[in-house]
Amino acid sequence: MRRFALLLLITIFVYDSTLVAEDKLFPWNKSPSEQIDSGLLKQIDNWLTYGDPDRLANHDSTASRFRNNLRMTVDLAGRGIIPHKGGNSGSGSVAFIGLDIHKVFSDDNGDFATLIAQPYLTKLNSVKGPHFFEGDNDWEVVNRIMNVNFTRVFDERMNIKVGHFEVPYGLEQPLNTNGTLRDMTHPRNLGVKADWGVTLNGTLTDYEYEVGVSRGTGNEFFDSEDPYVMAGRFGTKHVENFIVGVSFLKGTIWNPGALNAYKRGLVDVSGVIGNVIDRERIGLDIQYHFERPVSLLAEFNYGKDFERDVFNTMIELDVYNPSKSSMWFTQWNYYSEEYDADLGGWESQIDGSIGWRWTPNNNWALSMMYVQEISAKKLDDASVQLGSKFIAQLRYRF
Amino acid sequence: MNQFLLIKLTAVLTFSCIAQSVQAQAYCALRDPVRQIGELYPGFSYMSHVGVVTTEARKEVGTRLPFTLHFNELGSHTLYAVSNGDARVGYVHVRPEITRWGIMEITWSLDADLRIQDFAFQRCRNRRRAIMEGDGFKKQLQGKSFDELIELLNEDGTNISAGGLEVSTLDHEFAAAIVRCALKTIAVTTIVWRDEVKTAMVLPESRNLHQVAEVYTPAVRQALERMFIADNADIERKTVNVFRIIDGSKKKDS
Repeated sequence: MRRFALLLLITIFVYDSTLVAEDKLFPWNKSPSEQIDSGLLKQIDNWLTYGDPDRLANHDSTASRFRNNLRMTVDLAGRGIIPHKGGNSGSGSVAFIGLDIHKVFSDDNGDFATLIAQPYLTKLNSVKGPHFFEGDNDWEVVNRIMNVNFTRVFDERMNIKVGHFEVPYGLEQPLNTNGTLRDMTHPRNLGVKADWGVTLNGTLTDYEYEVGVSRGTGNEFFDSEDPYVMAGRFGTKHVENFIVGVSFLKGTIWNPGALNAYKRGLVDVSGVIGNVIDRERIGLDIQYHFERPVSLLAEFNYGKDFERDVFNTMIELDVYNPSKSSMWFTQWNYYSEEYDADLGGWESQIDGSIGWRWTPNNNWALSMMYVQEISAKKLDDASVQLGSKFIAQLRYRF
Repeated sequence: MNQFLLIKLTAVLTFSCIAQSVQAQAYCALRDPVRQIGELYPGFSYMSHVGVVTTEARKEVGTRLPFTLHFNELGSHTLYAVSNGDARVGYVHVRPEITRWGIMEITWSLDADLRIQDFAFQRCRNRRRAIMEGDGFKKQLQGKSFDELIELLNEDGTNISAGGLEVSTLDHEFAAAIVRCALKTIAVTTIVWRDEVKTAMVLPESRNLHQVAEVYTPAVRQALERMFIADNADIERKTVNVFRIIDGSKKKDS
């Protein structure tokens, strides 16, 4: 109850801020001359945006070269999670503090590379995180995206990206949901969202593509065992209102602790060793943007985990206001995998969620999402308790 | 414990409000308009210039136009300077415009003097976009300067002016949104990237362009006759446009 009260208070605070924004109570409505010097955060903000003017006066200085075509933003976010299952409720939270850096490298002949670096200190509080966290209260430096895209090796038709990137597959590749509550199918369908490796990417006259080979270890780069991911997406150009993409993935994906679940129902478990999951997927994704700010997204995936067939689907409906400061969405996921017939055949689950994101200005984003397990069919029709969770996130970038 | 958390969060909320320069979108979602640059300037090289659109710049745009930038348009943006060898041939800039069809993003190409060369939609839900992307509409904007574009809109910029553009009545609102976006693009480019663009300008920065209504006046015709080229059919005279350039920096105080 106290957490709800806290959430409500924060919501009212942010909402009221914008209601009175026209009265110039807040700095985003004020000119610099109207703003008073507001201390340390103001100085940090100025330095992030403009740097040290004295050092930048010399165009040949290292600081000047570093600052040229640089975007650098501090990203703070807090996420509260309240799960509910079988009459039991818990609560947890995640805190994120990160830097979001984007830099374009140029010489006399033009741009030749783009750097994106997003190191985020992430702290779990009573929340089960991905496998690279060592417990429910661990903290880690998460490399969300960290790569250099070389854009002048050929022309816009083929670039080479090296580093840590989103696995080019499905709707996640054109949309990028990093740092938001709304997520596509990567975590559950592929088991890896971003990975270390290299991709070829580019835009053709009517098509876009990205194809990559990566380590298969996700956030961290390991050299033990031999995980790998080969993935790619080919899609029509993203400037249209109807966009179709096809994707593929083949690999062995690092996921320690998940192997026992995969041994169940397999005829031959001799191949299930170590810490990797043998996985194949092909996918079809569709985006349709209606004339009014409403969008329909869908992704259909078929493939195998070891020798077990898998069929996963996601459908999402998004509704925006004209300025896109508010977004309502509902997402429906269907997950299924085929076990040996003696164990009962297919196991499946349907989740439904509704969510809302509000970005009153370029600094703030408030998001809320409610996820409900709608139905679940387990092996041998074993009884299942359906769960739900409520998640809220407040994000501030400056 | 919760009270302590509440105090901390309130403090963070309060003090973090002071920050001014902003960027809401995570940078991994940024997309350079490389396809449009390739289509608008095939074979040319381009160089990014990242500039910060501040509240001060927003206010200055408001002094030049009957409307101004939305708050979401503040923050870091990129101007792409396009070159052919050593020669600066123009610029590409992407600017959003809020419409009842949602946010429309247009990639604009400007010449070295910041006149409209061409445009392409980067995001547009309006189903009549193909009509606006056609030559019939584009040619009415191509070559137009800031001063000429502003005459295409009514006083408050909400609609096109009478006789300003030849478009179907169905497209008046859509066309006005495109012209508003063009005007904001030129205004923001002039204000934020002043140093980058002024060196490549052929015309004086403080000029005011006025189209001359009658090109072939009796005096001009007489002069052509004297040179025996009055009946020269090699020149399509209907397509000749003449502009009077008034250099504001040369004006006298009195």
